[in-house]
Amino acid sequence: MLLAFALLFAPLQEIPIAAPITHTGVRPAIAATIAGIASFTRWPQPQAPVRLCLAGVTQVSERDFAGVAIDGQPVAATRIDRPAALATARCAILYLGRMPVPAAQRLIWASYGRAILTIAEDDPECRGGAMFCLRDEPAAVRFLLNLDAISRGAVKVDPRVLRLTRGAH
Amino acid sequence: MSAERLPTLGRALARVQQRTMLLTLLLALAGSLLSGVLMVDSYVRQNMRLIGQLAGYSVEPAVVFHDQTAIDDAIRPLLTRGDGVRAVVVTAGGLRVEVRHPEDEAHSTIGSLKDRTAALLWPEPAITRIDHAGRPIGDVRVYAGLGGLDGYLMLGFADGVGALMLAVLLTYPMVRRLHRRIAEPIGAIAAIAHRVQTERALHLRAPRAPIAEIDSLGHDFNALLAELEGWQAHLARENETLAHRAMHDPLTGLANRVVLEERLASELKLAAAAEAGLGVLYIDANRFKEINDQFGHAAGDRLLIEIAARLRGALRQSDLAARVGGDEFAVLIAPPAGPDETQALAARIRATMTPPLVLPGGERIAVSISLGAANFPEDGRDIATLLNAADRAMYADKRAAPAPTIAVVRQSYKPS
Repeated sequence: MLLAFALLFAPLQEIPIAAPITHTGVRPAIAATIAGIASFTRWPQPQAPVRLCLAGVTQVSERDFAGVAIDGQPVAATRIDRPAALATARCAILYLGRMPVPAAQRLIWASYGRAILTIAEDDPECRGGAMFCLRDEPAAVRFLLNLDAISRGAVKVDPRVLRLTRGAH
Repeated sequence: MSAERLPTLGRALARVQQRTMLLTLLLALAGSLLSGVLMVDSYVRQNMRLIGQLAGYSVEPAVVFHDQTAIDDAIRPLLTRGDGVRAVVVTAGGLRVEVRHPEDEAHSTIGSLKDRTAALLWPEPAITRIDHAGRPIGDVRVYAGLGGLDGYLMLGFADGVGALMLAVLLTYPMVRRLHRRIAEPIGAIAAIAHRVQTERALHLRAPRAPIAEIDSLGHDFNALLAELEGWQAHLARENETLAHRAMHDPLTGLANRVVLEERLASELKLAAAAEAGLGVLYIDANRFKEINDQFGHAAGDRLLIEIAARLRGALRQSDLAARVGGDEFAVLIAPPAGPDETQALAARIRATMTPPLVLPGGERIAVSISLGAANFPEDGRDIATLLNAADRAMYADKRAAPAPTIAVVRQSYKPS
């Protein structure tokens, strides 16, 4: 309800959210943020393991997700480079790294209609169509969210995550 | 007098009523305050738990993302202004965020005093664990605030004072009525008792009272008064009878010699002072002994009674006839009375004695008397002289005009 209300009046609202950068560096922080967002996401089917597909040049690598759990399920991270791989790799999360905009667009369009949580690493304005966009800030990994994309997606995002960002600019 | 220091019934009643009312009110107030405090306590605890649970739920993503501002934002809407409730979020990552309502005056003197009082009353926070994905990631500790408790206590106090005033106002007429119903009837009885004591007003009676015991008391008191009144009347009658017996001859009902002499003494004084005259007559029944012997003592008594009756008939109201011996009578003719009046009265007495006495058996007896008169001051100035003069005159009369040899007797009963 709250989500629907927010969507009606702010279809492209972008909200920054923060996750701390721990002393171990930015990569675990990014992994933790991805896992955090995923933990507030509900897929139509239970994911076991949670398949994370990395695309483009990303700061994190598959190794960063070793030992990371989402809702108690391990993360299986793979790399993909084509939209078709979304289906074959059965991606639950699409994490977009730095890549040409058209390629990113194709991947995002391909994710439409599928139960895929999309997170962009290199889209500071969050205009590319990903549901969440990370922002690497000095003290924390922040993220914005694209309510339009979230409402269009087939996964459900806990409204508390949306509420959490209110006023945090 | 010690009675002056004793409280009146009305005051005693009022005091009992005041104490009862105060005690009742205090108990009621204490009861309502206690139940109120218990209710407030349970409300505060429930409030703490609820805020904790809500905060634990809504703060979960903020804790996951270690976002201090988001934690603040998530909890603040749950806090009510004025409650003074604080929530502290402690995350597993070591973050500690304390949230209170922005308008709560945490730094003012009153605010910190309230905080300290609340910490004294509810030292333990309500702790809610924050779970994420089945693992604890921190907890929310909700500390109670004094909230509206001070207001509640003020209200309770005002309520108590108001109730007291209202109770006084409402019960005053009742107390007045009770006073009227108890103190006034008792006062009436006391007033009557006082009048009985001071004025011997035994005819007074206590009025009916609206209270059973007092009414019964009044009733018994009235019965006692009635009995006393009866006793007094009886004693008065007894005294009267005794006095009459002491001064009168039981056979004829005439005064006796004592009365005659007393009366004569006082009349003599009056007559001497007024320079008026008075008369004394001495009368004796002739041949009384013979009548007794011939017709019996009953006939003699009847003759004496008849003579007395006729004497009384001949006298004026102010005069006095007395029986002074067996068959002797004396008459005091009250002043002013000179020898003429005395002689006139003597003649009248003689005239009344003319008809014979008819005995029950039918015999007729002539009523024959001798009569002597004496006058003050002509024949004497004191009682003895006067009575002697009258006595002598009577004997002279007896000798001068002897009665018929025997009483006239005419047998009139029919022989059977």
